[in-house]
Amino acid sequence: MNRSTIVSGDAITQVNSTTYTDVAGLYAGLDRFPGETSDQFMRRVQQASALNQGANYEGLLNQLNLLFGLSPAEIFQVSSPGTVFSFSVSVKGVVLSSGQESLSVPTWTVDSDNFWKWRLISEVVGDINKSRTFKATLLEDGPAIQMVKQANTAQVRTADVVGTTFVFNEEFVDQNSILFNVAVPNWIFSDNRSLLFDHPVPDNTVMTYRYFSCPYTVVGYPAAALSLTDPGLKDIAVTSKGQMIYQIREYLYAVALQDRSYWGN
Amino acid sequence: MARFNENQFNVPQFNQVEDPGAANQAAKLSKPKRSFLLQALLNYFDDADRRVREPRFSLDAQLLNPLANSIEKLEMRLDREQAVTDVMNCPINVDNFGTYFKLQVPDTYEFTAGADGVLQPPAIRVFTAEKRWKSITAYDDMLPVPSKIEVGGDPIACNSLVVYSLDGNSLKQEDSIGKISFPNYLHLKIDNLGDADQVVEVVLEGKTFPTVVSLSGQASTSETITITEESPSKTRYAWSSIDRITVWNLPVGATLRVALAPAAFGLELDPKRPAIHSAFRDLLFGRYWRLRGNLIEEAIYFNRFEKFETIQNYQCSPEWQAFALEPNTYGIFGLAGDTLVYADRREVWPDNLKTTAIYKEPLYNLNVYFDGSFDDNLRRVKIEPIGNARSGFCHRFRYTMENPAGSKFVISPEGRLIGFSAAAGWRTGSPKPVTVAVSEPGSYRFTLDSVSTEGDAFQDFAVYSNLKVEPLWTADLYSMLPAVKALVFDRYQKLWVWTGDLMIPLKITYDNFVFDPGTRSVYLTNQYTQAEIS
Repeated sequence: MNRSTIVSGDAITQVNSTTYTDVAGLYAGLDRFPGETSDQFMRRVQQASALNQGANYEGLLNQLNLLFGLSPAEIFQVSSPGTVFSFSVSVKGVVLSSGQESLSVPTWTVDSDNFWKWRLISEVVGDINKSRTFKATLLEDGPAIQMVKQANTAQVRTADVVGTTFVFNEEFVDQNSILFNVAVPNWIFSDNRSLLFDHPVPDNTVMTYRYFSCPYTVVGYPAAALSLTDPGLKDIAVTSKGQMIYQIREYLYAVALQDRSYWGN
Repeated sequence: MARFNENQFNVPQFNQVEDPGAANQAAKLSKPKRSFLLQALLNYFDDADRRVREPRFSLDAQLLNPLANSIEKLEMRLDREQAVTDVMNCPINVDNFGTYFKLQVPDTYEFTAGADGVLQPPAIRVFTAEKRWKSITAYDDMLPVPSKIEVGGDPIACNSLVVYSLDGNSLKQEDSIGKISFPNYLHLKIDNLGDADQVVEVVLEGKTFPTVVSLSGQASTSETITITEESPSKTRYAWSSIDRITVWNLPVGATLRVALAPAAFGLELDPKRPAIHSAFRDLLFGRYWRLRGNLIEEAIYFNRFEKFETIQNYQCSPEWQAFALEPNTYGIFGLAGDTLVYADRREVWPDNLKTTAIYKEPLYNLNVYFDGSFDDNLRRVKIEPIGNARSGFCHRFRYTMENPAGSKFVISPEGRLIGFSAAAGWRTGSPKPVTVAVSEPGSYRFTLDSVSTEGDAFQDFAVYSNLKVEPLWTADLYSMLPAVKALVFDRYQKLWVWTGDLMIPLKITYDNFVFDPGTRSVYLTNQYTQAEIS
């Protein structure tokens, strides 16, 4: 005969079952976190199916984001009323340029101990708004390290060109970036949206060009370290006095301790 | 956006009860159910064998129903397993959303074993957040009965379930819907399609849900829906914005509506349980649920000319204003005033099936089925005699009826009930179909007595199950929420209520457990401060 036993809540632990969404996650290469419910996990799996997870910088960021279960966010929007502008972010900082003004906004400073101090996104937005031509609207604040490498320019490759007219889908095309795979007749750039040729282009003509997204919405990744996957990291890892930044030094020590091959044995 | 006052609505829940009738939830759950596949098995009999194919509770039906239930259960399991390959259809809302709370049964506990040697689960009581001890039962992911419901997050402003409507002109029409306030699968329905033999094509282009933020943005997606009938269609994707909707061939006089939920049409498809009609072997039709007066009906949709035929109906007492079918389970949520009701949507097998065999072929067999030609709240059945080989020798007959309370009546040719006696109600000639009212829920038993010209007496019986919704759990929403107008399941199979201007998410909690004999562990569906094993 069993006597009743009372078990306190401390001895009751949360566990995941192996449920249907876990199998669906296998197709996306994702595992469910402890305590993550099926609907939360399925959202991540569905996002995985809609995101670029290729072997490039953006694909790497997306893969890391999905694995950590983090959601990138739109952090601020930048515009320049009436003008086309270029915008880029890297670990070095924010650079804006238009026909009227160029602006460079730092995203970090180095203190006396060679320690990186990342500015807030709201401070970066404030600096942009002090300019004459650029306007920025803060959407979500946080350390500026969340701003990963990005730019408001994008390239279109191998667009098919036929006949005497080509109309661009994009609004702000960089005329100087237009390249063809073959010699083409004379052309002019008309109404900022189309190319007019004086004769039909040869068969199988394709074109590559670049365009600007204006206004542009800056994307931030919540895991701060992700922006350090920027290839420009090496340029900011050393102070102006030639000393290694404190955080990078700590990181290298940690790697060296973990990786025995560093010591040659 | 409208803000939601959680203090006002999300109050501690003392307003929810399990099984308001009595502590007979287990009894309700254990009643045998009619499988939707039973008709498919009955249809293997020949077309001419109406005695098997048409009556709902023939001896053949009674024999085949356990088999049909087993096939249905297996099919449901396989369907769930197969659905994991499709992220849009993967079961999410079952298995307690994939998380449990593990309770290791102490080594000192002495388990009992079943006849097959498998250890039986211990009796479990838990101390709930409402500060009371509660015995809990095993979790059933075919029919997970809620124990508690509360507001599960911020509401979303949504002033209409219909996001778009368009009148037809038989030409190509192009428009934009824009951002969808409550991203969900979209439901399309064309009314007044008429006799036109046109194929209406709808192309949606825009952003699917979940929206993704990334450096290169989210690619635009396109989906084409082809519509040839007036029954609702559902999109494959959940949509968060529609930049362009293109409609081809919508006839003049027809109207296309695009909605966030089937509730907008008062009609919901039971996608995993198609309808099978006794007249059509191997054909599957859509099984639709709809409200009609105080009844909730299962109806078969043939086409826009024949429209719907009621398969079964259930009395809702009190009357329901809205309902939603729970995805991946047998559950249905209904709304009766401010009360949320959860019930099993399978048909309960009737009582009073006392006669298991007929030893001599009667002159007529008896078929009894719902007569849907009346619009009031009183249900009626049609009693139809089916002639056998010797039906031409019928000299006199009478119909009798035994109501669920056990009282017997004779049925007049006009469908009136007359007090039963051995001599009452006999008529000469051949029996004709008659319609009779069935006002009480429960099993009615009908008899057709006939006497041949040689003086031999014959009988056939039919049972009609006059069903009602049997709530397994109810919750009073009055203190939690503003007046609710519709129940909606979202793209993650979670329940929301629509108040007319807000879409409010609900969080369902279950008080159940899963027992794993291998590890001698109990997995609770909820977190408790204490649990008792005995």
